[in-house]
Amino acid sequence: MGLLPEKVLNEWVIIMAPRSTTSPLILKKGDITPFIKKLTHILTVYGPVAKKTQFVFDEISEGSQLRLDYDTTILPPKKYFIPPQEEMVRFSLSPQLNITSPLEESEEATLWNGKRFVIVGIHSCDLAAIKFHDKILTQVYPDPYRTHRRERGIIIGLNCLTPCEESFCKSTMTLSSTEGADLMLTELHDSYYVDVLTETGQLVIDYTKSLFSSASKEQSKSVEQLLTSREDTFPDLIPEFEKLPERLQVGYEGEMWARLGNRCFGCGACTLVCPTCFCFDVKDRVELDLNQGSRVRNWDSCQLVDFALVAGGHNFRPTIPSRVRFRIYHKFWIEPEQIQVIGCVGCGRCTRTCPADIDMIELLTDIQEGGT
Amino acid sequence: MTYPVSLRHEKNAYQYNKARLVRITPQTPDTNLYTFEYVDPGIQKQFTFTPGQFILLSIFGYGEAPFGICSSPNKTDSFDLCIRSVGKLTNVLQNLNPDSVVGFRGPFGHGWPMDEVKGKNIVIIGGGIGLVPLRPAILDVIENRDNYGKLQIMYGARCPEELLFKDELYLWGNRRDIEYVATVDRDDEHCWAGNIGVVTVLFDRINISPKDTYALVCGPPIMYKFVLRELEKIGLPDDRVFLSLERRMKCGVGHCSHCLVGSKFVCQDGPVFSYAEVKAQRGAV
Ligand SMILES: Cc1cc2nc3c(=O)[nH]c(=O)nc-3n(C[C@H](O)[C@H](O)[C@H](O)COP(=O)(O)OP(=O)(O)OC[C@H]3O[C@@H](n4cnc5c(N)ncnc54)[C@H](O)[C@@H]3O)c2cc1C
Ligand code: SF4
Ligand code: SF4
Ligand code: FES
Repeated sequence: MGLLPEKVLNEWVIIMAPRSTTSPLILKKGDITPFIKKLTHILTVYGPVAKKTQFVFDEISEGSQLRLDYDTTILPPKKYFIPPQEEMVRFSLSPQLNITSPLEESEEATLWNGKRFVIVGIHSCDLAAIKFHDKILTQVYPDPYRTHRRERGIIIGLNCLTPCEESFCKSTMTLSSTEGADLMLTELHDSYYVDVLTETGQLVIDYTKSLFSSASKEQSKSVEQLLTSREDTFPDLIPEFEKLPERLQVGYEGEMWARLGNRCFGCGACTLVCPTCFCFDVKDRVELDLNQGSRVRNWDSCQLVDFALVAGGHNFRPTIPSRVRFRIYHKFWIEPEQIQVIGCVGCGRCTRTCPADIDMIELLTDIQEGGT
Repeated sequence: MTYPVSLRHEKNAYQYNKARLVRITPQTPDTNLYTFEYVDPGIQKQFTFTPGQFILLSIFGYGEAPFGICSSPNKTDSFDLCIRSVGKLTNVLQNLNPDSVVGFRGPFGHGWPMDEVKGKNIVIIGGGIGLVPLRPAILDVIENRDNYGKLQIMYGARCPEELLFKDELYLWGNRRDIEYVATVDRDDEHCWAGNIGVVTVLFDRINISPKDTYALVCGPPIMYKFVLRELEKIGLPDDRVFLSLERRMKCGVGHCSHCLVGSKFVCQDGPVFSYAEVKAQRGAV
């Protein structure tokens, strides 16, 4: 194995950036509806909404749909930056080959020309995952498609005040991530306390100014207290999380992979709901006239059997145990080697989704305890 | 928006350059040499690559796949790919008519360490279609013979019909400044007068001195195991043995994760790695 970076996780320290650049504001809960209404005039607005017993990020036309009291969503907001299916180029085959890219749109996206969108209410773990993608998808070449969307997205973050089931964000040190957000909300009684973190955030405030008032010293103090009290209310479920890469140096041949592999169905659901997973597959689609079509990329999963199959039928990870192990090594060893950040933000979605009841906290605890 | 400028698209790695198929030269029953020329003469003129680098070929409607560039790096008017027909894209390719237009991205990745091996002895070991990415290195050595030391080539194919570049092999075999040996796994038609057996039998036919020598190796996964063992026996240090790895690729630029070997992208950090680098990664060979 290669050398381990000296300090894994040092990036997260940067992600826990100062809370506010300008003086904080207050938005009354009752003003959420006019706030969203105003945003919809110039932007496409997304946010958490209820779907049966769960929540999902979806487009919002009315403030009343927005459920800022959500615990977690089925899919993370990554779908707005890396859609499940995305056109890379369009082509026509005759009279001659003609290739056009959706990136060729030359007009710059401003707040006013309808080309930008806003996502309201992203929790800290998902913010950390967005920053993670900013880094992992620009290692050699920037991913131009994601960058295109990322530049157009405005992010209104939301601090978590109660832990959600299956999550372990305190251990991953993503509980207090705010970087990536333009505005950051904290629920305070009948209001939201608003930190303005970027120039874009300030533009949004300027546009909806009449709805905001200045926060008082007491309010700032209360929020400070609320946020620090999380140190006690959120459990550290995987102590020494940052040591995982080191611990994975041994155990590659261990029996735990066979044990997990025997339970796992290889369905790939865990990777589809994961906010840090980003693998994709590429396919060409041809229209019925056989003359035009597009090249599309789709979310892929390293848990599916043909992920590492090459010509001649050789498969580098033919068994479920070898693929389960790859998923864990990718997040907890390979990504830290590449960009010094562990590829898990502790959201717990994989555990909640897994039909085989494979529990990430249990799995990681096994590794921490030298489980083989 | 305060986004780092490097994130904008001036380095868009998903831009395609159009090229025209000039001709198809059959090599074996299922493998052809394809010669291409960029439609835009300016792009053709600027086209350079390091031996061992690959390029992504698109036939729109059928897909995209990586192929090692096969021609001499000193040839500027066109370039060659040598491709075995194994599936969707490659089967369509063999039926294309000359003058058909396809798309290319690249070249990408790190090729053979041609600068490092200047003035040194080179052993080239190719198995089957693995000779393809080695050919530009061989041609460069031949075309700039004074820049390099001894050249030894070991080539193995499944059977005599599967040998690629047969006219060239003949020439290599007859040159005094190249030591060339070949073998076939089996010879059912009894038309082969040379060695029989897998590539490793050639280690008895050729004398490799570890001093100032580099080995460049490409072949099927199974071949590496045995060849690496032989090279270790000879005493060639791991950082002078280079291998080209093959993995599934969907992007070529470090985004899709299909080609990961340990923490390395075969598409960007490779496809050529030193054995020392490979050893540091799990599950590489
Ligand atoms: C760096 C590199 C250099 C290569 N150089 C050459 C070369 O010089 N000549 C040559 O003939 N071949 C080369 N290959 C292999 C070539 O890319 C595959 O043969 C090609 O992708 C098959 O495409 P297809 O659409 O015809 O096959 P498909 O119909 O897609 O599939 C046929 C088989 O190929 C496998 N496969 C599918 N996509 C890929 C992929 N992207 N990479 C590998 N296997 C795949 C499938 O699992 C299946 O077993 C190289 C591969 C790599 C990674
Ligand atoms: S691995 Fe599981 S807990 Fe970690 S970020 Fe992905 S879905 Fe969330
Ligand atoms: S969701 Fe569960 S069963 Fe499905 S691939 Fe992931 S770990 Fe395996
Ligand atoms: S081919 Fe996509 S990451 Fe290497």
